[in-house]
Amino acid sequence: MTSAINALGTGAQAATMGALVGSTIMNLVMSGALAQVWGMINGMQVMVHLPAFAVKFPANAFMVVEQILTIATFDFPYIDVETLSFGLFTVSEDDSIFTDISGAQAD
Amino acid sequence: MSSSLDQLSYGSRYMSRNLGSVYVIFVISFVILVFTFLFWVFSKCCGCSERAFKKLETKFLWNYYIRLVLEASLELSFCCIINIKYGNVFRYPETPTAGSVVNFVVAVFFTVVVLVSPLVILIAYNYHFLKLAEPEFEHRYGAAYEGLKHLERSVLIYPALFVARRILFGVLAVYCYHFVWLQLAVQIYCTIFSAWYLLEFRPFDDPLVQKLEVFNEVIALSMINLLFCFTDLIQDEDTNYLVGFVFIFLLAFNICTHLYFMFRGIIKDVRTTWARKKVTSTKSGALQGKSGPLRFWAILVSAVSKGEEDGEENPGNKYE
Repeated sequence: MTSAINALGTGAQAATMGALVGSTIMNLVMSGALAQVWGMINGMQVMVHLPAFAVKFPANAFMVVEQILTIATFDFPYIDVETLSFGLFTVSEDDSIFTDISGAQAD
Repeated sequence: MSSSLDQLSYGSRYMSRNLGSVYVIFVISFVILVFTFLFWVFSKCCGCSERAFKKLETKFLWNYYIRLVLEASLELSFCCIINIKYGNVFRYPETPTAGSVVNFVVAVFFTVVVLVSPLVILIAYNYHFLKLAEPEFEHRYGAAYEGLKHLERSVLIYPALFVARRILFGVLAVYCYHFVWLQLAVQIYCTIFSAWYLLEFRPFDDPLVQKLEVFNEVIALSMINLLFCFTDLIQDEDTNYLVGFVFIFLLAFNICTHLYFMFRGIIKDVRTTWARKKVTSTKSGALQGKSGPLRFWAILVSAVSKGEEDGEENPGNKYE
């Protein structure tokens, strides 16, 4: 069941990403309006951020949300400033918000 | 602090890690802005690089930056609040790294940008209200009201509300973590208010986009209401799991509906352009002697070049 949900999430991510990129290119080529594309992304952004609230989010929903999140937040794998700067731009290793700067556990 | 923020890839104290690819986009955009400024200085001082400046100005100033901030406003809200709350360099017991200082400065800068943007949108666009329909103004600053009606002042509330709601989302998620009732209640009222605004003022030009925005709010409201099932009100994990499937269904339903209308619109546009160009090409004899893939290619190239011509003739067209 878990693998099925995971596959569903990955499939949904790939399909949505492909469709969004395709429609954006087509809209640009045809000089069409992008309002519909932005509308879709804006709606998705709010929906996929709902697990940020203090609720016990079920794992099945989270698996799908996690996949859609990468599209809604324009987050692509390996494209981050630390990788692209070849380690020149680095921050401290222990950067978790769970531990305070002084080392104590954050609330 | 719950692990949910960590799972949503906001687990780091630093903006550069939380923002990921968007941080790279911001860095590139900043470099472009610097180059544009340099080209402008050179064009003013020695008359050279004016062409390069004009090109960059046409492509990037300022619609690109406005759209970038609008689309990243939710992520920026989360990352700035987290960086300022947990990654404050002035609270470091030891000397902070250069990266953490840069992150903190960027976080403060974007906090100011995001906080000020709703006010700037309301005041500046209201001040230049009569210019909103002008193609030149639209080509330069039109991203904030893309797809909205130009002739009503009430539409300016939409982009301001859009950013303000996202700031509130970030504040609620990070600062009000122990008040789940407050988080859910504020989100419900925000969504209802947003839906009321959309139905009352109908700010969008295209009736389809208007309906889809209302649809978005209805789905968002349903999903927020489902979150009550994930609080202590329901302890049974099986029920939670079942409600999780309803959540997935609503999310998938929203995405599929948007994609359906998007593709329907594109197919309609392609067919209209195709039919028009086919008639024009047949009349002009451009398709003579061409068959099969060559004929298809000739029609496609002429359709695309027509699209580009339209864009050049009326630069504000794509923001309408």
